[in-house]
Amino acid sequence: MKRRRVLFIQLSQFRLFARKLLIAALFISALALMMLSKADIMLLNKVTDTAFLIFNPLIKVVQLPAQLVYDGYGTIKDVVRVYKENKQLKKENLEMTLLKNQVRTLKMENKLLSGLLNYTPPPEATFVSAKIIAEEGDGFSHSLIAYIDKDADVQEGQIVLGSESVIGRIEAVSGHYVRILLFTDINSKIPVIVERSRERGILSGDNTTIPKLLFTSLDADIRTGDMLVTSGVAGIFPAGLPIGIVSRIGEDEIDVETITDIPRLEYVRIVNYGIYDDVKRITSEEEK
Amino acid sequence: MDETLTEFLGNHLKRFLPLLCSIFLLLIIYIPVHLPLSRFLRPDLGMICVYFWALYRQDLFGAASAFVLGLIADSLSAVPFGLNSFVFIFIFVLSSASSSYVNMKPFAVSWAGFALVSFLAFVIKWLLASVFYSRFLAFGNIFVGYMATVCLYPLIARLNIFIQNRYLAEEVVYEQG
Repeated sequence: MKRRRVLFIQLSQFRLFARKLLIAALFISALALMMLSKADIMLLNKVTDTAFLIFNPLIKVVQLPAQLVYDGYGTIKDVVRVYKENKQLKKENLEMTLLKNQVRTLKMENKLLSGLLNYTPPPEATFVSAKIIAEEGDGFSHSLIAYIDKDADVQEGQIVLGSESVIGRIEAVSGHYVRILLFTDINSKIPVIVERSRERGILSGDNTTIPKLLFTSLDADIRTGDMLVTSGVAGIFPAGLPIGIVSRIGEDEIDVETITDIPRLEYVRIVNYGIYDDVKRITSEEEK
Repeated sequence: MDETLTEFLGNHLKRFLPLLCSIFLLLIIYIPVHLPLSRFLRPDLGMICVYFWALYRQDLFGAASAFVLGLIADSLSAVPFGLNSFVFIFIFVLSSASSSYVNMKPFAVSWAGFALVSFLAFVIKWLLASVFYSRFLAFGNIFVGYMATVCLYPLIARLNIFIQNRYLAEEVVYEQG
């Protein structure tokens, strides 16, 4: 009887020790994963991509009931909206017909002048529309997950446009799913230019909804309400895409307001300007 | 009496029920709600689940479950991989250690305990993320997220209590020592 009791205590202590060991091992594993993700190890990226591929379809399943309610409400709203829009569109259609003729004339004129200057036009951008299926935005990260066609030509680094402006870039692609890193995320740094004064700077996210304009000169001509566009310096974003508006100029920092209402976005456009492919090709050639 | 296949599967499913429910709740938080406030008021339901199950059912929700739940959260979000896992294990350790003090006490005690544990967890997460990015993250947004998480605790805890009483109550295992 006594022997049994001793055995029980020993087993219990062993289990307790094993449990403590497991917790310590899990703590160390989590820290090791963080360090590996900082080092951008290829193997870890593959693991995260696989996990991303497994769990994203689950989000679609979970959101089905909520989506049905939302869609029903949306249909009622749409009927009312479509009636109003129809009236407006008829009016705009007339104006557009006139504009179309003007554009055709200008296009022809541009073609003739380009021919005279021996100008080579840039490659035309192609885009893919994607539905947002998940959003994440708190003090730790700002990203979206979107659903794409599996055959769509979407790669890491491509630009993502909202309804009116740039909202971020593709961070991960896995099957039908892409993770979009918003420019409000702390990892996002985009070279921009003030449209009016041509002052340069870096638009840096800080996990708030108000990104900051950094690295501008002290006597920079920047005013509240100035439009910021991409400068194209880093080679990932083409120049001239609208991205934000200067909302406040403080002593130490310049606040920027986003143009697109990101929380209300339902669809985004993933644009391929071909620039990122060129940058990747040149980088790999240099590495070789 | 021989166990049928359905009973066998049912019993094993019950063992994973806390983890499965936690994954479900974790996924819910990523559903786009298209509201301006959604970028501030995003509670961390994973923290609530880890705290709750570690407090009341450590036999069904161990440290490994907390780690797996963290990995899922990491793979879905853009945070450094491993950050949520670390924080969830941290909550698991604190919660399981305080289990004997909080068990059988009024609900407000476990809520207050969660407010304290989750505050420490948010601070740890903030510090680790700040070290990772080599700059301090704005604490304001994180604090709003913390408040939202604490405010939502009663609702999620009630849901978990319902699951516990409805599906897991007959399998209560009390461990000694």
